[in-house]
Amino acid sequence: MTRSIKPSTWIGAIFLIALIALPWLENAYWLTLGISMLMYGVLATSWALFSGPTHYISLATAAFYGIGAYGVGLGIESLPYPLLLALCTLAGAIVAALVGLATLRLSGVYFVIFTLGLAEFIRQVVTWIQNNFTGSRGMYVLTDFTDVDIYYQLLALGAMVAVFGLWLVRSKLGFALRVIGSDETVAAHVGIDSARSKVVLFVFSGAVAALTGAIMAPRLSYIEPSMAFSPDLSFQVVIMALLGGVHKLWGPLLGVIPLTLVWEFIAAVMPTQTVLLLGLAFLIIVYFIPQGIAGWLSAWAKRGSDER
Amino acid sequence: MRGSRLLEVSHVTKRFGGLQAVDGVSFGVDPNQVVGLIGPNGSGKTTMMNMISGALRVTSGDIFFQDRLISNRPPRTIFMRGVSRTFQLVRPLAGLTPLESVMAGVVFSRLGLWGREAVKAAERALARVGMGGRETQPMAALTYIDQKRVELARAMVSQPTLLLLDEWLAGLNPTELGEGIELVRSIQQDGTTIILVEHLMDAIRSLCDTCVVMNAGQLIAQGAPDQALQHPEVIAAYLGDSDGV
Repeated sequence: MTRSIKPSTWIGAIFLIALIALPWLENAYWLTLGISMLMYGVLATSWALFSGPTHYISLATAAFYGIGAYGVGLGIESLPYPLLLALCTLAGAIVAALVGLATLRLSGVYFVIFTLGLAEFIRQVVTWIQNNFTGSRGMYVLTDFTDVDIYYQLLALGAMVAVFGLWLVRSKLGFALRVIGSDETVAAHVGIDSARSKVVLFVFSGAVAALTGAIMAPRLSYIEPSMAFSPDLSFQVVIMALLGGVHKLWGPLLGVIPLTLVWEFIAAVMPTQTVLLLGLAFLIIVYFIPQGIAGWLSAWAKRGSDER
Repeated sequence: MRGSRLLEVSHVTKRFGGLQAVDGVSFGVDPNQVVGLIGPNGSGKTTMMNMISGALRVTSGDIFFQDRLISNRPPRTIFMRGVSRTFQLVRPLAGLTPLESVMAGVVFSRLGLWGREAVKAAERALARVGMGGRETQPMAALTYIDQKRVELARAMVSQPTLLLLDEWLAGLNPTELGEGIELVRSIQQDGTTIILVEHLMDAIRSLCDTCVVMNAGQLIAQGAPDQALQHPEVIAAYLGDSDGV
């Protein structure tokens, strides 16, 4: 692990200032793009904090995101917004804990299928309830929030995820996760509680995804199950994180930025072809940059310093 | 009978489906001894080690460590009580440096070292196994023997009460073997009790206070190495019956 703190600190500071200053441009297009990037950035980074070291691929992002979005939809008329955010986060954390306790003892493949099924299951249940009891397919989320408000909420959440990530790589828990990811048998024989470590991180990523959904709900303004629990979201997050690289805290962002831009472009030009992009991105990752852009950059930087 | 003994294996049986890997084996280990667990391939030695370390459950029987039942407890619990191990097929922690690999052995142990303390302990352990100055080489670039050294350092850095070495000396050249034997002896002198599974009879003779000999899942002899190895059943197990087959 290189400890060249200086350049990365500078880049990070400039990046952060640019993010804080973006709404000052008062450009609706950039703000929209910024919100998308922050949303995917938060989701992909928190996803990678769990999946990067453990190699457990979770496709449950949409399940937690949907829980958050629906929670705000249900409660926005009756509860104060901050309390609602806290409740949605808690709901995401509880579901993640239950799922984690039930499935993280399973080996990787079963976990992947289960998490995919979970999002689909919740979507079907919500659809069924709405069809049979509420009489409408979706619901409106009407607030006074502007896009700038939502942007800064996401930015604050992103900062929290980053702080947690910085703490994690220096913590015992982060170290335990690296050992688990390397060899779970050894981990068990050196005193690591694998199940607990994995559940803690899964709960974190689930809670963050739920909170992201809760923050995004006012922006969606109309929520229905097929949007809130869209499996596309889970796959997008995975592809973005893998493209960027999951072994560095800032890795997923390197996948989020280009893919969000390309996505916006494709959605405008040929709206039905976004899945094609997903597939292409996946092929590129598998064949050319299995360690992600961050891994490729690290290797390249290392080669450069070796030659000097 | 228990009380003075560090480890007591009592009527332990392990079945894998129809295969009886260990069949009603009982033996005891006294504190600060080096005990050789020997026998032909497939005799159940590694299975026995795996049951002591918690990697495998026992089908029946009990294992006591310091008078507390440890059979069928998770490996983590057994490790926390002071039982540490190496693996027959070395398990290097790919993606970690040797220093980090050894730190993993102490950070979550009952010593609970972290930060500078853990680094220092890991460096000392690496130096002891002859890996001093190579703390940050990639694990993948190490030779098989060096990976074994790192694994031993990982197992002993937590100052275990009982250390299980599963063919750790196998594959060493004569010089390395001499160093390895000295190393095991020095770990014993630190107050650690050692059970080693080994095929190298010279190592057994020079290191072990006691031998436990297994064949086809059963205990066939135990005692001082010279006596145990002279036992007719042991000779028959290794060389075949005098009737010949």
